[in-house]
Amino acid sequence: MLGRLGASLNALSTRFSKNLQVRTNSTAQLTESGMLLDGRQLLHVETRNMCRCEKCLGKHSHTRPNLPFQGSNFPDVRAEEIGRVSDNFVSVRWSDGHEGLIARTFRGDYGPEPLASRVENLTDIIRRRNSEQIFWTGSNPEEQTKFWDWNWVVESSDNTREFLIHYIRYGIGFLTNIPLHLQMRDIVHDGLGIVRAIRKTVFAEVDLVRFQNNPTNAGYGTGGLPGHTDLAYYNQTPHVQFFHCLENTVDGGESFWVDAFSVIREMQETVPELVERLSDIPITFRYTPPGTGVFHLTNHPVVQFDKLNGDIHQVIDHPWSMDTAMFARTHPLETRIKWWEAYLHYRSLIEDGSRTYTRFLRGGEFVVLDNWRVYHGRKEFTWKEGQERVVATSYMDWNHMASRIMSTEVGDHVFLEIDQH
Amino acid sequence: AVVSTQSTGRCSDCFGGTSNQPLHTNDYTNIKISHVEGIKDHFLSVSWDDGHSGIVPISETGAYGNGYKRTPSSRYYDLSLRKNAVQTFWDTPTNEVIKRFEYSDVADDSDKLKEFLAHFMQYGLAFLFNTPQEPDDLLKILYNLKITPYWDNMFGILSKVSFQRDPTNQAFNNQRLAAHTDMPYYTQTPSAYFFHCVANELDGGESFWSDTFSAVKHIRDTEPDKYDLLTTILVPFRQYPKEWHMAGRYPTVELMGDDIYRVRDCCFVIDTYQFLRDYDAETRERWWQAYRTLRLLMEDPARTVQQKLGAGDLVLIDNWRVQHGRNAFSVGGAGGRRAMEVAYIEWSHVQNRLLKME
Repeated sequence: MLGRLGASLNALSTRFSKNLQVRTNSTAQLTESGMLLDGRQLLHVETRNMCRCEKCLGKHSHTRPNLPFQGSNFPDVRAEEIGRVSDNFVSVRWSDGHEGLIARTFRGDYGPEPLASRVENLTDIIRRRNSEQIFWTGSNPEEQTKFWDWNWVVESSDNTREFLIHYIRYGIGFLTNIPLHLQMRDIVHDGLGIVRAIRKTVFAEVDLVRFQNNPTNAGYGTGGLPGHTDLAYYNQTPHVQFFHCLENTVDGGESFWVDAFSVIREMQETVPELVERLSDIPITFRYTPPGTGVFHLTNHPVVQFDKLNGDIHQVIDHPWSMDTAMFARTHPLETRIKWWEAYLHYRSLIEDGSRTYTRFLRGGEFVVLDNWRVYHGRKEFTWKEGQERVVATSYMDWNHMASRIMSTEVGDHVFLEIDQH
Repeated sequence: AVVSTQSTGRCSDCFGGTSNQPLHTNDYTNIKISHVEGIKDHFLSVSWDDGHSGIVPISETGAYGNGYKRTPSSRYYDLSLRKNAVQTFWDTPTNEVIKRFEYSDVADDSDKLKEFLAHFMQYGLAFLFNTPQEPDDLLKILYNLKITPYWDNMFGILSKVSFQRDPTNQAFNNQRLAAHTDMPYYTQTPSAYFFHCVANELDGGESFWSDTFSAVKHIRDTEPDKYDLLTTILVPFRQYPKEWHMAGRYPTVELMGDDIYRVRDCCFVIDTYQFLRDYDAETRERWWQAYRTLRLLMEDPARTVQQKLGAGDLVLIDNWRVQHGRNAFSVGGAGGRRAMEVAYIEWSHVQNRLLKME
């Protein structure tokens, strides 16, 4: 490693020794505030932070060890000379004496293909930009409710990626023909290849939702469950949710789903002032089943928007855990009247049957759900001796899903091709 | 009327006695109260025009269940919601900030454990000493303290921080690590972590911590324009070692109402390449100046708690508030090792341990 570092630094010196004068060209020019690179203005401090030489960017970590202006050493570091310009990099010398290079392209900054092109093409998808999502317009459009064959999805990494991208666009993805012996970890870790995925919650790693006498949660009863998102009382409500139907022989109990983003978009166009109330006023959610030692509570607005671009970002809505008593103590009457008006209007749209996709899940069917966007619920069912309705549920961080889509495969070469600069 | 419908249902027809959840949630019509019977203990007896008669809680004790249940103290409640009013921001390390708790005390006594957790929530960090010192003991410690489940992440359930020749993360080299918060690129960045010292036998490697909330408050009071930038400009972060690609954009400082709520700041993983594409040069220049102001405060030794942790020392850190770092340490030589283990916990699980009724 040291030998290669030395060779790289020697190569960089050679590139500068042939270019003693400041180079100016249409690709890269020094300016008073920094550098104009491919038509984009970079600040001096940014150029220093972007150095991609092996001294500045950990080869195996892809992270830099310090700040470009850290401490008293380089308080006002400046780019002083531009050296060689190649397809992906520009050589630069800075006022702190360092000689390195910065990237001109995704390939230069992120690494070789296919990572670079995935980053360039899929960034908006994994950021859940509304422009990349497809909001549901009816209750049963074919593409939205498409069932993907498990064997095809796990046949190749590209197929898995295609399925996960579909899930991101629609907020839901259905899998079928999963072998009945496979458990949640088998499906998520080994099948879909999302490692370290499952997030343990108060419901453990995998919650088996089945009928209980004296249920400690509404989900364990036989009653219908209106559309909702899960774990609203968590400070960080889980993002990705898995439903694995293990067995379903009861009468009734159909599952259904609603795209809340579609509802909010409609309200933004027709009653924007109501949407504003749902995003401005936080309410308390609480979960304290007696005798269980569980005490969760937090405050969330029902709707949240992306601060940078205004996209609809997240919904949190779990009627059973709304702490209305606390709401009455923490907010004045006038605020609560406005909030209830907005919320009731919103719920009337959520519960509009024309927006709902309903299905009787069968054993071996699997649903991946965006718990920050798509509501789920079930119709009531009757339970008789010998019947079962068992759905295993788990949760996962968004970033592990996104990483599965964006990351390189095992064995792919990931380091930058600075030797070719 | 609808509000009272939602807030009542404390009778057994409306409220699950074993779940503490409403049994019916879809009655959103304009129901009106038709008759008020009277008050008994913590409830008001009420009849509605839909024919139902039930009870409405008139106290927090009544609101929290069918019977009479103790509620957590309001201090614990507010600490668990991260309210600035009950937090103590520190710009110099006082004796109270660095107070140490004996592990056996908090493990054996639930009230002392809650005191430890409340101290952590108030100051953003708390120290335990005399914990078990073997590798992997951290998970046993968490189990004994009943602060579970822990959070599995890209570094595993238990992250082992020790020197690597080809480090896949800056933490695994022996260089100085500037003050930072962990994993800012996660959509849901971990809120708390236990930092357990298994061995610390090499020269150097002192750990240090500083309170970002104190620094942010200082900037808010003295340079509000910079404060605005730190709370509004979304900074992209990216971490992409082999077979992982973690990315996200967040403001350095997040608010909950007027309260400072969460800070994300990890210089090692700022994605400057993406930053150029998100904002114009003028905005970025102003942000870098604001960020430099914050960093100068964070790196001021006078604002820092510094300790060389010993085997068996454990620090619980609020990763949304307190930044941590370490001095460089020597490797090679006659032997000795520096081995730390880290486990991350969701805020809700720490909260649960503080608030749960025994």
